[in-house]
Amino acid sequence: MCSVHDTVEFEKRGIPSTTIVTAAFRKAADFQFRGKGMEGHPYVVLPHPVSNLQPADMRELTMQFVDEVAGYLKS
Amino acid sequence: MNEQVDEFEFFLEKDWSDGLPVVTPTEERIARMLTGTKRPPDEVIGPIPPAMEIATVESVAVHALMAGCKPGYLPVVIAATEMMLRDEFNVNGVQGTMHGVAPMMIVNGPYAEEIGIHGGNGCMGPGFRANAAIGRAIRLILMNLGAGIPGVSSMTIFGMPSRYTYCLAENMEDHPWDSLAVSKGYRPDENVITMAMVESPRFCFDDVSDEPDRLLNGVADTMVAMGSWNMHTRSDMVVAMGPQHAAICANAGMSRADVHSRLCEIAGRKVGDLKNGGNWRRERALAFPIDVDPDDDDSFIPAIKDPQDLQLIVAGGWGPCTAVCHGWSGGSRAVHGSYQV
Repeated sequence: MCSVHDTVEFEKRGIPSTTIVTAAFRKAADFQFRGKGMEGHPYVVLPHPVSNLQPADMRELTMQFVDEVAGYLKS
Repeated sequence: MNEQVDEFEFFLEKDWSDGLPVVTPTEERIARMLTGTKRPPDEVIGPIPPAMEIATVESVAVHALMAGCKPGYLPVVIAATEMMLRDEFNVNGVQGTMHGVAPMMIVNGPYAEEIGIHGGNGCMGPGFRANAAIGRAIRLILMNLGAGIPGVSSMTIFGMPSRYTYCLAENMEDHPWDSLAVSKGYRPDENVITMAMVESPRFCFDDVSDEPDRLLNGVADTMVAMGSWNMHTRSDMVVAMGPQHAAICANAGMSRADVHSRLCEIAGRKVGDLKNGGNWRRERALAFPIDVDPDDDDSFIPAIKDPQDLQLIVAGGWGPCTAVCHGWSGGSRAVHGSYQV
């Protein structure tokens, strides 16, 4: 879960950051945030799976989460 | 066991185990384990992902002890812990992945023989203390210091039996060629560990072939499957030829390099075949570090995208079998390194 570690390191430096996972990795993300002392830090959960999506479908899914990601990055 | 605490149950209840009883790490036993290394107990080995607990010589010794190691095994466990933290090995990715690969340890050199790491009959286990305990120590470190706990931080779908322990030597007694370590440029008298993130073995039984062409066709077929990541990304692979199969090649005049090269050349499938199932995606093929045309059904996709990703060893007992261990999707490169005793 490198992305959780990256988020924690950015946040420690005062740079807003979030993590994007698919639902199957939610437990792992919760565990990592808890372990890094940032329990409850918000992150973005995409439906699982995404690896079988075609590029156009992936783009469409991505667009549904742009506002949520942007919201975390502005906070 | 004292009247209040059954220490075996205690460690299992604490989730400080792989599910089997561990040796209780008393101070006396830890001190004895530390006699296996000249390195100071507080020397830092590094953070074990994803929890990033710091492994020290002492904490590695504690886990070696819990796994059932003798003090003499400790230099191997310490060296393997250091090696698996190299960036290119990407142990962090493997700790979280849905796949179920594990770090296979191939230990070459005189010290492996001295401490009894087995490379002959049944070398992938069970039955040999050094193989079992050294590999298990690595797993306990990954679980206890790294928190690679299935369903919590590890999203492995199945896990696999080789996640309990995965350590062996080559069968140098019946080996027709130089060891893997020597093929990588090490001296025969150097103590060397290779670690590769691979699945449990699938076997190529062939008691029919008596010449290399037919034999290697069968081995190459075992290196390929629609659902194998070796067909859909650059991925490591271990091919452990049984001495009998290796001898067929050697007796026909083939060197280790010849066999290695031949397998890299012929193990693969055409695009048209791969499209019919498994992980085929055009985008994945476009990301290969080799030139293939994903729109040409006749384009050949090799299982080994870079020859250095195939670790060819000779191990196991006499018999008509070769073991093939497929790799992981997430970008882990096998690591090699010598260590001091």
